[in-house]
Amino acid sequence: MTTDSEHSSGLYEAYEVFVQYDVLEPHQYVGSVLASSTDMALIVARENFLRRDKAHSLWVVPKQFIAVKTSEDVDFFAVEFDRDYRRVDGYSDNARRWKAFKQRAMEIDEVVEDVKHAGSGNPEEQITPGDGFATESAPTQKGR
Amino acid sequence: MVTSTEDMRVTQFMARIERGEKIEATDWMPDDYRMVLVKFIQMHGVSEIMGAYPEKEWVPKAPSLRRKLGIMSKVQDEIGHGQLLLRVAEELAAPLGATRESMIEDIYTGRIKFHNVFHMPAPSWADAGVIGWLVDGAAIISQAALLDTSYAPYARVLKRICAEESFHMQHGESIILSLAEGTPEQRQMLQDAVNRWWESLMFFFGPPEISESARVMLKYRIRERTNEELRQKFLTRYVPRIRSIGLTIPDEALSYDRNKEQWTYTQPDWQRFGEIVRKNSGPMSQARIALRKSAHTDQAWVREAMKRTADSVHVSVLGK
Ligand SMILES: [Fe+2]
Ligand SMILES: [Fe+2]
Repeated sequence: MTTDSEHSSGLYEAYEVFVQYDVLEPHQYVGSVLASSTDMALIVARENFLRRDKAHSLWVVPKQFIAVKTSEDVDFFAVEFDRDYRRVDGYSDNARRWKAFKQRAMEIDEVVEDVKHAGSGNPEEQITPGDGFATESAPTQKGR
Repeated sequence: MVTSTEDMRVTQFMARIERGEKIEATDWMPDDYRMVLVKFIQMHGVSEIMGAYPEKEWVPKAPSLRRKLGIMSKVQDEIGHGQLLLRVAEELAAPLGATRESMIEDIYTGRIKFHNVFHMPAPSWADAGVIGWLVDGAAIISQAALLDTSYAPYARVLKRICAEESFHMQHGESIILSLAEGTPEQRQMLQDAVNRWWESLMFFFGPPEISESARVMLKYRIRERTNEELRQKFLTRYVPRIRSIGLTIPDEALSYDRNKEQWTYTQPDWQRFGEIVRKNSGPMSQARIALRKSAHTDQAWVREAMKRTADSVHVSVLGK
């Protein structure tokens, strides 16, 4: 890692580079370049990082404008409690409890898939016959 | 000629939309695209914020520490969703002179509306559960249907929101399952809450007719499903689940027509709820708006003080 004095003493300035590979993904940090101006930084970044990959958008930011916290600051990143009440896995007993009512647990992925299609869907497919989850297993989509 | 360049730009824009391309904040866009998006996203963001109020009322009264932590996390998420969405809205509305301050002020000057459900009271813990289960359930269906929206910054934020909503879904179910497994009194409390919320939930998706702004949104692929399609999907998913835990839905006309593959249901009182939303005249509208207003105005000095501190630090750093 460079320090403030290192990048301010040279002739050029350091820029951090962020690439957005897909329109629906966030920009991702890929590395840094040294350049004489913002315009040049964009060109150098394009040459360094995007010779092959297809990208949707490219950002360069002067390094000095990036405020940083690292894991050295333990308190800052501390998770004070076991926070499973904030996560889906804190409620994993729901599926068993629905089953007692002869009902299948619902997952958000299937809702996402469902609304892509027109029509009301079949309410009978929502009910679990017997005790299985057989009717329609929740499709697990990539990346969601 | 000015009009022909304008026409050409609109044609090019429509071609982008039809190719399924996503639009960024910095791209050229027709005025009606911008206007309809600003209004829609601002209303979405403001509804997230006002939506935290009915549940926030239950944070001090939650029945156990774990429930308190759970509902507090959810309230935090909703306010967080409001912030992400207002960020998207204010960026789009910047050419129109809007700011974060004005977007919040719009709530108490009545310039922006929020969802009917958040004007209603939540008198019991079962209401907190039903909000988490069914109101979030309805909101999840609406938001999931927007994931493929043509406006990229909105789509990216929605993706994040939906990921967090999967916790809201489980959280709401967990509360209502506990009540459903409980004593006859607890089950009755749950039934009463469903009775209170059902009509509001039917209204939530909006009228079955396609309004002018809905037409613009369909044209520009801001959304692709109609109000009625989403209400139908909600019924398909939730009616069997509500019934499976032994609850009655307070609508005798409710039934699924196998031939038409459609639900028949009693129309909510469009007139009454429409007025509640337009005039902020629901049972809890004024009280919650007053709270939102005092949070905004009483703390104006804090925002200003923080800005002054930041400015003076900036000056002294640069001055060195
Ligand atoms: Fe939300
Ligand atoms: Fe939510």
